Amino acid sequence: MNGGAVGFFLGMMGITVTDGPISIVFVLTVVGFVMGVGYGAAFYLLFDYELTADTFDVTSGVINRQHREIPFHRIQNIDVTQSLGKRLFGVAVLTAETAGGGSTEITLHFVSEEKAAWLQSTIRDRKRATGGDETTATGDAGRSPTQLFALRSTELAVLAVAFLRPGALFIALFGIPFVADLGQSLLLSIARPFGGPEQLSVSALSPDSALVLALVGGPLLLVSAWIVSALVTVVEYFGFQLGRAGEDLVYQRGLLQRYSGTIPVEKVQSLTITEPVLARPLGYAGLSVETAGYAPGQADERKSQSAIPLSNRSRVFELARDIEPFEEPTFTRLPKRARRRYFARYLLIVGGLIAVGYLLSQFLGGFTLWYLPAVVLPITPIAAHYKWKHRGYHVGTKHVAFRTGYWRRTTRVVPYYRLQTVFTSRTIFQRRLGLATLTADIASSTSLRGGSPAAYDIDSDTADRLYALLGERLQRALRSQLME
Amino acid sequence: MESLHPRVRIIWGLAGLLSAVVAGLGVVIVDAFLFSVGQWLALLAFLIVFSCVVPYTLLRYRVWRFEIRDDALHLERGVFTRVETAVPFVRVQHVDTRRGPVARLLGLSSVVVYTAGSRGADVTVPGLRSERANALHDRLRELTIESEEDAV
Repeated sequence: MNGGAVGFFLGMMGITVTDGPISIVFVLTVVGFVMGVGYGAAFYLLFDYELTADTFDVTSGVINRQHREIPFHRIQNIDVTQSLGKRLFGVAVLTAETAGGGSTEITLHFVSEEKAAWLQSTIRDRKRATGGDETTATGDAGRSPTQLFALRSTELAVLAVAFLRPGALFIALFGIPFVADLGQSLLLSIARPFGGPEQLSVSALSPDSALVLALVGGPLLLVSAWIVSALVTVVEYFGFQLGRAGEDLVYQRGLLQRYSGTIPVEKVQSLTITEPVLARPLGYAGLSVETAGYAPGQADERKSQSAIPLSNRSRVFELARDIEPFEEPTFTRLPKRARRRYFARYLLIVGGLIAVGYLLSQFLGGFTLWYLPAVVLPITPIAAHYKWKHRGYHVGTKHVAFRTGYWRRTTRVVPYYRLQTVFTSRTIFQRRLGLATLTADIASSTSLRGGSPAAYDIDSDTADRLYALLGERLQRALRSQLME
Repeated sequence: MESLHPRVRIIWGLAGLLSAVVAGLGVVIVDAFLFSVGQWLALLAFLIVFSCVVPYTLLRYRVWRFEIRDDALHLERGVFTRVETAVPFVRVQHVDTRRGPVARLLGLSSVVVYTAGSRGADVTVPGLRSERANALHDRLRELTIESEEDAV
C-alpha cells in the first residue's frame, strides 16, 4: 500500500523533473506505481515473524534481508494501533520497543485484530516466564486483564475542557483555512469599537490599530484553539480503559483510531499527577507514568503514558499508589524571597516590553499605545504569589516529590532507587538571593515538555542538604533492594 | 577537590578568540551587505567579546573542580550558573576518553561519563593530562563494576 504511494509520488516527480510530453510522464507514473506495488507486495510476501520459546523473531527486507531476534524479557512496550481505515478491514499495527535504540525495534504492519491481541498477551506472558521477573513467573495472571479504570463521559468532558493542548494553537492558526473568512469578519467587527482597522490590509493598518487587532485576536485564537483541543482530546481519549495483566498495565483508547498499549510497572521511573487550573476546583486530576522504554527523539507524547487521563483526585492517588506505593506528600513551600524573585522577574518583563514599545513609538508614526503593557502591572504580585504558592517539594521515606505550575500543576513522584544524576544549579540571580535549583534526573524522562524532576528556587543550604541526602538514599535503596 | 590542568585555559581561550573573531566578522558582513555601520565597529565588537573572554576563561578555570567520592563522581563548574553534579557509579553506562586536535597538541584529554538519564546523560571532565585521564577512566570503570556487583 505504501509502496504504491511511493511509486505514484515518483511518477509525479517525473512530471516536474522531465517536463516532457505527457505520454512519457504517464508511462513513468505507471511504471513507478507498478514498481511501488511490486515492492509493497514483495515486502509483504518476504516478511516473516515467529514467536520462539524465548525470542520474538522477524525476518524482513526485499533487497537487504534482515533477521532480528529480540528476547522477550528485553521487550518493554508492545503497542497496537488501529487507524480508521485499518479498523474497516479488521487489521492493526503492532509495535515492540526495547530500552535501547533510536527507533521502534519491531513493527508488524498488517496483523488481524485477534492476532494482534493474542501476540500482545502472549509476549507479555512469555516475557514474565523467561525471567523478566522470576517471582511472578507462576503464570496465574490470566490472559484477559482485570479492569482498573474506565473513563466516564463526564470525566471525558472535563478532560476535554480542562486540558488545553499547546499544539491546538497551531491548528487554529494555520489548519482551518475554510473558516478564515468568517473568522476575519468576526475579528474585525469585534475590534472596530476599540479602534481596530476597517479592513485587513497592510496599507490600512496603523501600528495602533494592528495592536488592538492583535489584542482582540489573541483571545479569539485562544477560544478556537480551545475548541480544537477539546475535539482532539475527545477523539483521542474516547473509551479509555485501563487494566492490569500480571505485572503490566494495559490501556486502550481512541474514537476513530484505536490505540492499545502496555505500561510495564517494574520499569516505571516516575509518576506525574497533573491538575490543570480548571480541574482543581472540581477535584479532578490526571496521572501519567514515565517508563524507560521509548527512546528520546520519538513523538514526545509516547514517552510519558497516560495511566488515568482524568478522574477524582482520591481515585488517582489510589491508583498511583497501586503502581508505586508512596505516602501522601506534604509539600514544603519555597522561601518567601523566591516569591520576591518572581515578582521582580514579572516586573522586568513588563518593564522591558514598555521600554521596547517606547523606543518603537519614537520611530514609528501612529504608534502611541506603547504604555499598554502597564495594564498587567497590578496583577504581577498576584501572579508571583500563585507561582510561588504552587511550588514545593517533599522528601519522603522512599520517594521525593516535586510540585510546580499554576495553570497546569504537576506533581512528580520519584522513587529514590530510580535516581540517576543529581544536580544543583545556581544562577547569579539565585546566588544573590541564596536560592538554588535541585534537579533529580531519571532515565528517559519527558525532557521536552516537563523536563527532569526538579525543585526550583529552594533555599541554598537546603539544596546542598538534599543533594547529599538524595545520593545517600539512592545507595540505601539499592542496598535494601539487594537484601530482598 | 581536584582542579583541571592549567593548560585547559589555552583551549578555552582559543575557543573564546574564535567567537570574538566570529562576532567581528558578523559586523563586517552586516556592514557590507545590509547597512553600512562603519568598519571600526567590527574591531570594537571583536575587542568587546575578547575582553570578556579572558576573565571568563580564568574564572571558569578557577571554579572547575571534580572529585571521586565514595559512591559518586562529583563535579562543580559554571561562572554565571554554578552547577554541582553527582554521578553515582551505579548509574554509569560507559566511560569515554576524548582528545580533540588542539587538546592533543597540548597533551590533554577529556573523560566523558554516560548515564541513562535525560538531562545529565553525558558529563564531561575536560582538560586532564592524558595519564590522568586514563587513570580516571580506569578508576571509574573499576568503581562502576564494583558498584554493579554490590547492587545487582
